[in-house]
Amino acid sequence: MIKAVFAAALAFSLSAAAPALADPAVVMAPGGAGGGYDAMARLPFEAMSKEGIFTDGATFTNKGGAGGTIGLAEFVGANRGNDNAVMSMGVILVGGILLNSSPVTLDDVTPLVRLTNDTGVVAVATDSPIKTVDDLVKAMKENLGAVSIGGGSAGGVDHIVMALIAKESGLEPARLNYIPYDSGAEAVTALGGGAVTVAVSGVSEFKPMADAGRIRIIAVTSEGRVEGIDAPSLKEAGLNVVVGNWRGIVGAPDMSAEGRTMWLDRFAKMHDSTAWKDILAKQGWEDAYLAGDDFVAFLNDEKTRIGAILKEAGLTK
Amino acid sequence: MDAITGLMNGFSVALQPQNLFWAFVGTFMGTAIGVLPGIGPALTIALLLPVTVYIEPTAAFIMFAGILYGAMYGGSTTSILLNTPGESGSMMTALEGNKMARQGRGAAALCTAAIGSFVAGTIGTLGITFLAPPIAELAFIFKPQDYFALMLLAFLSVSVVMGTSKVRGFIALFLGLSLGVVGIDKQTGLQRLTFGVPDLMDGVEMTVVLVSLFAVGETLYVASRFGFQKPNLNPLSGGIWMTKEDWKRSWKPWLRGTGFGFPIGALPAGGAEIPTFLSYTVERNLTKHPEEFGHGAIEGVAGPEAANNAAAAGVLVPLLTLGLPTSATAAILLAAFQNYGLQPGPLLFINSADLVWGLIASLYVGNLMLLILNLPLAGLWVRLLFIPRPYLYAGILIFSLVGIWGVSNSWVDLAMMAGVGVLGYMMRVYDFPIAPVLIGLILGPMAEVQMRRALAVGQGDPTVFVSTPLSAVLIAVSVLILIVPAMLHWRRTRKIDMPDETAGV
Amino acid sequence: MTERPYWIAAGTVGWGAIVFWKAAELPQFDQYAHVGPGFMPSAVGLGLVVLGLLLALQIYRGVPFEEQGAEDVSEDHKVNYMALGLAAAASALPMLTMKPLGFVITCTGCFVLVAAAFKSRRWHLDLVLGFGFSLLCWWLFRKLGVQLGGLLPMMGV
Repeated sequence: MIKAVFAAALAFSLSAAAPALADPAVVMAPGGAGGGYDAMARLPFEAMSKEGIFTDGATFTNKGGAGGTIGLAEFVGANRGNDNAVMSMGVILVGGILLNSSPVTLDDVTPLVRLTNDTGVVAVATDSPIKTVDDLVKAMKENLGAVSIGGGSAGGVDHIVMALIAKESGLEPARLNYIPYDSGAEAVTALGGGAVTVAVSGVSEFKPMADAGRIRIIAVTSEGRVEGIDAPSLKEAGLNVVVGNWRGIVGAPDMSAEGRTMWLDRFAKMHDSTAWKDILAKQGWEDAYLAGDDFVAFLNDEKTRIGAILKEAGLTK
Repeated sequence: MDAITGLMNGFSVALQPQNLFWAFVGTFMGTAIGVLPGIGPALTIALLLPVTVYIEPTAAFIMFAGILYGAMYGGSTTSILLNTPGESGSMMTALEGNKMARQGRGAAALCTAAIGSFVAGTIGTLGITFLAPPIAELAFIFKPQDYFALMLLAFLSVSVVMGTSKVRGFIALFLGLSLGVVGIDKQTGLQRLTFGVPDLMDGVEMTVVLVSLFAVGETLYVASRFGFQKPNLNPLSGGIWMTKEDWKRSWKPWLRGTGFGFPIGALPAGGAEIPTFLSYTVERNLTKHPEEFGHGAIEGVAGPEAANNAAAAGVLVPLLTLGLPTSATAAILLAAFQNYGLQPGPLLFINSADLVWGLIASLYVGNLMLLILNLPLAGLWVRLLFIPRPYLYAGILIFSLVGIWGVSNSWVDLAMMAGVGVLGYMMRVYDFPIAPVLIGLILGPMAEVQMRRALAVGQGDPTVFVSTPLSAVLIAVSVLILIVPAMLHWRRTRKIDMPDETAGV
Repeated sequence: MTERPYWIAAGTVGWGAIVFWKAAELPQFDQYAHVGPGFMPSAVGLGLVVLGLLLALQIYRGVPFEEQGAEDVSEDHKVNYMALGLAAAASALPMLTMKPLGFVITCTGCFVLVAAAFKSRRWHLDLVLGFGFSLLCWWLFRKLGVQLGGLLPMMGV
């Protein structure tokens, strides 16, 4: 009996270990299964395989922790010069590297594309006396500590939005009464129940509650207005604040020029495919495709901007 | 009475043969995987998320519902039989359950766990069916100070699991608290006690400590003192079924456990642990057999098991009614909804009524299926204890490694497994209670976050802690819990005029 | 047996001191909550120091330390240090071998060591059983999507 089980196990394991496909891509998601980075790692490959753009398969590794920097460090350590290795990332990783003073940074990898964006929203409780961005700024100027702010982790995009609002209004970002919540669900209930004065989160997390009349969105953080939300952008409201929770893909450190071109080509094809458009629609992601050198320039701007505001908010030295 | 027609439609969906099959697959997988340490329902569903591409939404959610309940139940099996709880929700079950198993009453413990889970799951599902909107409102009512007061209450109730020596119990608790502060401080982003190790930035992984303290510590301890004699106890000596007395002592704890689990599970920061702590405490205080607690009291299995299953049902309330994922499992279920292009929330009941009611009906079906699956299996599971000890403990260690290595792939976690395993051994040798370490590790960070949130909102004013009716009541109850036993003790000692050794030291 | 394990008290005080010392580097106060990031660890560290001292006092007074009961524990509680060493080696083995040698070989080693700690005398049978069981676990959970690594990472398999 035991022998039979053993033999069967051996046979199965050999079939599992045998390489079924030629050179599958090595893909790192610096976050846990089911999260944003995980989806950003897997879904582009799903689209590429469906459309026949890249069919050699992929092995995914999830390695969350410390704002994604642990996954980044492992990716950089294990894949130097590997043209087959890519990693999902986003603006949270840019901040995470600074906040965790990570020894490995995005200078170590080869930026490829930005793919999606999630616009942020600033919201208040439905019965709040604050109705507009002006009201909010006025209240903050009156008594900054009395305006408690709910949002994601300290130093995350939500915090950056409020820090920039404070800075633009001539207030000290370090003096904000910012209260981090573990999830959008916790933040939105805290806001709806009146535990915090104002809260910041992504459109996808706050819109259903706003539609249900639990909270009121007073501004969005994109350049212009967002369809389906009756609120101005912060820019329209007179504050020069544009922040997006964008996500994209980077390649292995020291990726060859050919390797980079090959991936850029694949992502360009994928971006035009219907499979990708279906995924965007299904996930409720905004398309924010930006490739190659444009993405490199954008990434450098983000690094500088986020680095400066985190310092002003007193979160990094 | 929309709910009833909806539910009837739901049953017509859930009872289709192929959906029954998926419910079976889900409950079976949930139970099997729940048995593994460290791998709970959230991870299981996350791993199965890709199947949403291949099967239709109703079938997928019916399967996921089965996994959710099944995993909650599966965790109790190893807790009871091997004293190795796989997730925090089933830790309290191990305290009395394993003692019962050692008296040959393992099957009865498994039965009361299975039936308690069924009762709690069914009442919870009834709650989802008829009470979901008002229960979901709790999420908006609870303020940080209310959460803090609830956690304070859970903390104070810890003293009942402290064992014979209060000093050693408190050392265990503070050890857990000290592990709980490791990691990046969520409020300020500063690192606390990480000693520069990146793997510690997100804190000490709770499941690693849980599995190492219980499973690895137990293995070391039993190995070092393993007698040559044959096991002197027949695991089935207590029969394979509950006695009349067991039933009599179980039904109230089932109901009370459900009463704690369902509403707290529905809170965004509630979770399955607090209700199990509270349920255990309450049963220990209400029991007519206080002498049995700590030596295998069935109430201590029935209550917490019901509480953790009811909490699992509670999690679905805000998810379905408000679209709010309040736990890791719910967040993954939400991702599954989104994979199908569905947005949970008030509109889901209107736009996808078939799916929602099918899901709710399948919760009833899955629950019943779990009971049918597990009651006969209780007798079979107990036979696990007939496995020769060398292989049983070797197998436990390998399962622990699947949980610890498979979740994080972190060397630091492996090192922690060895270190905490030795700690678990020492604690057994010198009679330190194990449970307070985990209670401190779980509740400490939660309570600290809520305390600081409440204070931040109140800008440092300490009266914020009693500023809502709920927080005031809960704090008052906590104070009473603290004072009343001390006063009783004082009166008793004055009357007898003899110092009480155990409580004095 | 009047054992006086002062080292436990010393260990508790020591760990408490480390926690307190590390916490002292953090800000104790916060602008709005007043309770800062250092508050909780300071309190916990201080608590551990006090509790450790109380324990030392108890040990001085000769408080008994009775071992906890467990299944299959021999009545006389005689310690078999050989078995303890083998079991401890099994729990430490993954630290050394998991990364280079992979899950299956590591678990096979653990299996044999634990079995030996429990006085199994047929180590070659244990080896075969352990290997089969580890391989089965590895294959099954990998199929389910749990990341257990390659079969032999050192050789890139």
